[in-house]
Amino acid sequence: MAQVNHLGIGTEKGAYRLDHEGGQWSVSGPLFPGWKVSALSTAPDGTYLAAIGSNWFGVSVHRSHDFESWTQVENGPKYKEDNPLGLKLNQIWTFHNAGNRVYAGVDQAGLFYSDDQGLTWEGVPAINEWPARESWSPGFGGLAAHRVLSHGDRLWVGISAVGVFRSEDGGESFVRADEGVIPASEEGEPAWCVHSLVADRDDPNRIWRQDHRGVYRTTDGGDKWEQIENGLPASFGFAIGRNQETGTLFVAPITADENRVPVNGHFSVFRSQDDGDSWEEAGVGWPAEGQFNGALRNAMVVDDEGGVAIGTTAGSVFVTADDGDNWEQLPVSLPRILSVATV
Amino acid sequence: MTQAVVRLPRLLEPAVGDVRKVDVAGDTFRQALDDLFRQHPTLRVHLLSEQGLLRPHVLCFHNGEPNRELVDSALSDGDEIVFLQAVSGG
Repeated sequence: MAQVNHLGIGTEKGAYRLDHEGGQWSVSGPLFPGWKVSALSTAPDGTYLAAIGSNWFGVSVHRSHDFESWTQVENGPKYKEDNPLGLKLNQIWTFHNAGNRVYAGVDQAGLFYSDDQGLTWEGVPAINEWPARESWSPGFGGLAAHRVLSHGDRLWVGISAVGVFRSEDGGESFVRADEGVIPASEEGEPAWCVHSLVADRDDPNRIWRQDHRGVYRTTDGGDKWEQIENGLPASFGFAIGRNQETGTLFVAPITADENRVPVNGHFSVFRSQDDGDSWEEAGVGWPAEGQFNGALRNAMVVDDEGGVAIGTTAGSVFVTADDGDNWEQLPVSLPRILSVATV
Repeated sequence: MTQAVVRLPRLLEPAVGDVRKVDVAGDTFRQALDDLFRQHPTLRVHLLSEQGLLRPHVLCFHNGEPNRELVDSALSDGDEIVFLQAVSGG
């Protein structure tokens, strides 16, 4: 049974759970009513993690063992009161498991880690105190470290609108890794607006990238990127995912940065079954037209059993259980979807 | 020690569960806040910024008078401190 039969959906107004049992989908929630749920994940020991925030009351991390009862952690990611740049924690964008460690990427751009399943968190100075960070500029969605990849002591961090940072020493130091990607800005220190990253877990040098300026891949860990957009109706988008077992890649194209709706109002996912050499619309089951909403970077989850789930800014959820051949629009209409996870 | 009451909005439920009223002890306003955060440490991040200031869209009233600057002052038994989210935005 595909993992996408049980989904946690983080939205602009609370989190919801969708379960597929006995041929029927059911919805429960909201959890955290009234709060943005920007990231949902499962820590290495199976503890569920949720990142929430509000327009009034700041940001916090919550833990649960059953996805129903949640407890806020007391020592969540936090910039020090005396940090010289006056950095503020505006949103937690992502959780990433690396062995027994959990990383959190945040806005204002920073990286934190927990070695106790999300209970307590420490900052990563090599990112949080990057010498040139005063020159960093936010993207439309903020100045955010929103994607983390890892393999052993190697670490990649995607920051908008700055670029990709790679570490070979467990986060002690980082180098930039954007060569070959069209910069978002060349004024001052060049800036790249990476939107999302996904790696081959067996060969971490192979990484695919949905960027503001197109879709890219690297085969050397980010030393050099090449554009791979053959067959895509548009190169802009946010979400990118990969089935580790089949190698199938998924993206959700959006017309352009200045017009963030699907091409001709036809929302669908495109897939590549040749590592990004070519793309085609993924299977059948998409509404023919009239879908003027897109998918955000955290709003797609891909399991390794053929399951993909993607949520839209209009609160729709689409699911496939066969690696993208057939899609079903679930019978729900949720608030604006920020994050999707299997639970 | 002086006894006061802190009232919290429902939106803070993820931090404190169904607690809406907290009895706090302290001879001054700041001591009362310290007791609030001692009893409910998860509240601090929601009410105060990294710099220790009240978050921009949070209101604080002491006996009905606004105290967004969290100015310290003497408390009397039965004083009421209320936190609210501002009605802002659309």
